[in-house]
Amino acid sequence: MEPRTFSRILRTSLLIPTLVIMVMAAIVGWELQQLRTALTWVDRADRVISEMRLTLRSMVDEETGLRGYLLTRRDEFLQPYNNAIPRVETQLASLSDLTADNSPQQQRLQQIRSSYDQWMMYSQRMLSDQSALTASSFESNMEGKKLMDQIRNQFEETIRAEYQLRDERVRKSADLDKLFLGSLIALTVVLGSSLAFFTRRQLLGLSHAYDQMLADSRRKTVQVEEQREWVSTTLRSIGDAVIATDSEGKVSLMNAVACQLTGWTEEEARGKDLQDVFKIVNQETREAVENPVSKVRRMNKVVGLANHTVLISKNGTEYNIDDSGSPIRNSDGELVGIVLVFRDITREYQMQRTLRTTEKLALAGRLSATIAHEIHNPLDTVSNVLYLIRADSQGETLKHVDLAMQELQRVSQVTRSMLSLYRESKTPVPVSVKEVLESVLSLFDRKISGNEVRIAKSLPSSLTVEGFPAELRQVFSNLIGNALDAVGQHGALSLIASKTAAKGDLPAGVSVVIADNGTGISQDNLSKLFLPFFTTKGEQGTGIGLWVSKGIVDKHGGTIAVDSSTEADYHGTSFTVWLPEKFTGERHSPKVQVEMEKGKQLETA
Amino acid sequence: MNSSNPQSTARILCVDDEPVGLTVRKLLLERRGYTVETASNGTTALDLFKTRPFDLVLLDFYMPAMNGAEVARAMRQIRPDARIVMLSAYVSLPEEALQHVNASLTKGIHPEVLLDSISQIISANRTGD
Ligand SMILES: Nc1ncnc2c1ncn2[C@@H]1O[C@H](COP(=O)(O)OP(=O)(O)O)[C@@H](O)[C@H]1O
Ligand SMILES: [Mg+2]
Repeated sequence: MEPRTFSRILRTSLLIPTLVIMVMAAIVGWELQQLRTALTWVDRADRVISEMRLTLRSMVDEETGLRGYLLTRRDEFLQPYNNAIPRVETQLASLSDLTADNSPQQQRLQQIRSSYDQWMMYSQRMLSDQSALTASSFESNMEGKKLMDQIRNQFEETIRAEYQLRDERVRKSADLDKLFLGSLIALTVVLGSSLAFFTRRQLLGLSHAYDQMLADSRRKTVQVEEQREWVSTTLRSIGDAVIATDSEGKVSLMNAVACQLTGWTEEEARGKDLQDVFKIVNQETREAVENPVSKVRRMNKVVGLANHTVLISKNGTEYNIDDSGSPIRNSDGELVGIVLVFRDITREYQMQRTLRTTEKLALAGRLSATIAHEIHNPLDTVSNVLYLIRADSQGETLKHVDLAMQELQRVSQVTRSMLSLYRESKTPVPVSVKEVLESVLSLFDRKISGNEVRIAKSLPSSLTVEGFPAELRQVFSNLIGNALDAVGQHGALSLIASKTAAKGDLPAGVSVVIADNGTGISQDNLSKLFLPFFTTKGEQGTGIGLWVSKGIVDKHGGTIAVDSSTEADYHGTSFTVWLPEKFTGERHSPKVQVEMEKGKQLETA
Repeated sequence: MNSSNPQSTARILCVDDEPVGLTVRKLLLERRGYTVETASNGTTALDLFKTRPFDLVLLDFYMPAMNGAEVARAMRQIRPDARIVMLSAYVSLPEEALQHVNASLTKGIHPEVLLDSISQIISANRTGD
């Protein structure tokens, strides 16, 4: 129920009783007025009656006075008579006034008046007749008495009539009184019951409305709860990571993927600043990337994050991520939060990098073909020419020509090693281990002499293995390159190749140990060494060298193992590559797998 | 120059599309006492090969129209025992390219390595006779 309805109910529940009470008061007032008038009339009758009695007495006083005088002829007896005469006049006048509304009484009073007038004429006559005889004669006495009796009777009748009138009036007022009481009771009952009824109805309505309101709000709460549940399960089931924040940038929701990538649990993260939970830096510069909350606020629209963004999780793991931030607005369009959606694109990123590497290799292959043709042809001619000149030379010239030929051979060797990295044959051929290692070393000539790295070699020329020379070259150039990276300046490298005799199921082969006195590899890193993209060299490294090398060695049916120490006094690393003499392809027999397991143990030892 | 060389009578057909390289190589081989004929493409080489016998054919791989591998196959069809050495500017040639040759060498190697290989193959031929 709306508050407006509620206050309306309150208003009517006050207004209606007030109105009813006012009507009742009006009715009661009117009835009281009626009763009062009725009582006034009774009062008037009482006054008329008493006035009549007084008038009668005044007349009796006159008669008594007259009679006394007539008997005694003493003036003091005439005093009451004389006093009464004006009194009677005024009394009669007032009576006629009082009964002005009642014509029968007026008539009666008229008769009384005329009877009185007759008596007055009689009395005048008696007073003027000085003979005591006349005065005391029986006849004249009888005449006076008769007149007075007539007056008395007339009064009696009038008073009776007035009494009747009064009785009627009293009855009327009693009726009114009864009516008044009755109606008062009736009104009270009606008012009381109607108030009770009305109030009950209102209260019932109110309580009904209240019940409905409660039910409504309960239903709404359930609906809201369901909706909430739905939204949060949806968010939680999304395959991408989702973090929502309030307008201040404090985390309010995180789904499982987001928890996994950031390393935070939702409980830990809730209420924390987004920057603390969602740490992002630029992959190249390692500088913090602009906080998405302020970015969204600034742009006021959906924003994507910059490229090369790396998310650093709580435990330090880094993920390449691709993400976007969107503002959350309320119905008024105010910014109430921000939702971030991001994805782990580490794999894609590395794939792209591999692709780039592969593309580079392909490009290098094409380039090498061109270089081969454009360099080897003139090189061949110059070599031959020098050889011809040499045959005709002697002394100083011969020495010079020899020098020239020697240098030319170096050029030829380098180009051949470089170009051979990109060639491949389809079937394995016998490969001289010494030749492979020498050609790889010649690739690193500059680096070796520049860094003054000492190289110790033990490479018997008789050692051959069957395989793909270019691939094997790649293996050793990776290992030697890594070793040179690890030793830096003034380091030492040793390359030792030796024959291994057949033993049990293991065929005869060649083992090559490449050892350095470089930094060594930590225990942690040892286990990740052969994983693709594992590198400690940042942008300088690709992290695919060892992974590719292991693939190649596996393909040749060989093993690769590593031993390393980071101890201060004997740090260094040695990689041992073992290759079978006869190419047998990747080995799958269980026995050999055990052997390879041993190799693996070595790797992680 | 070395007239006592038992191979001095050997005849070599030298094929290359690079005229300078071909001329110098011819000189080199002649200095060793070989009789050398040259061709600057596969068709000419095959024509020569059909008309007279050669103890050895020294073939460049990369040539327009017909490459060394194709020329070698055609020659082996004419004479299955033809001795052929492939000479190439590329460090590695596909296996198929080397199916019909006795040896393959990279251009730019020391001339003595080339001469040694040629003499070995020719003498193997002679002993095999
Ligand atoms: N001889 C070595 N001494 C010390 N560390 C090494 C050695 N060889 C490999 N590593 C470690 O192994 C990592 C992976 O090597 P690799 O797969 O060749 O990739 P990259 O050389 O491109 O880093 C290197 O980054 C380095 O940390
Ligand atoms: Mg490496």
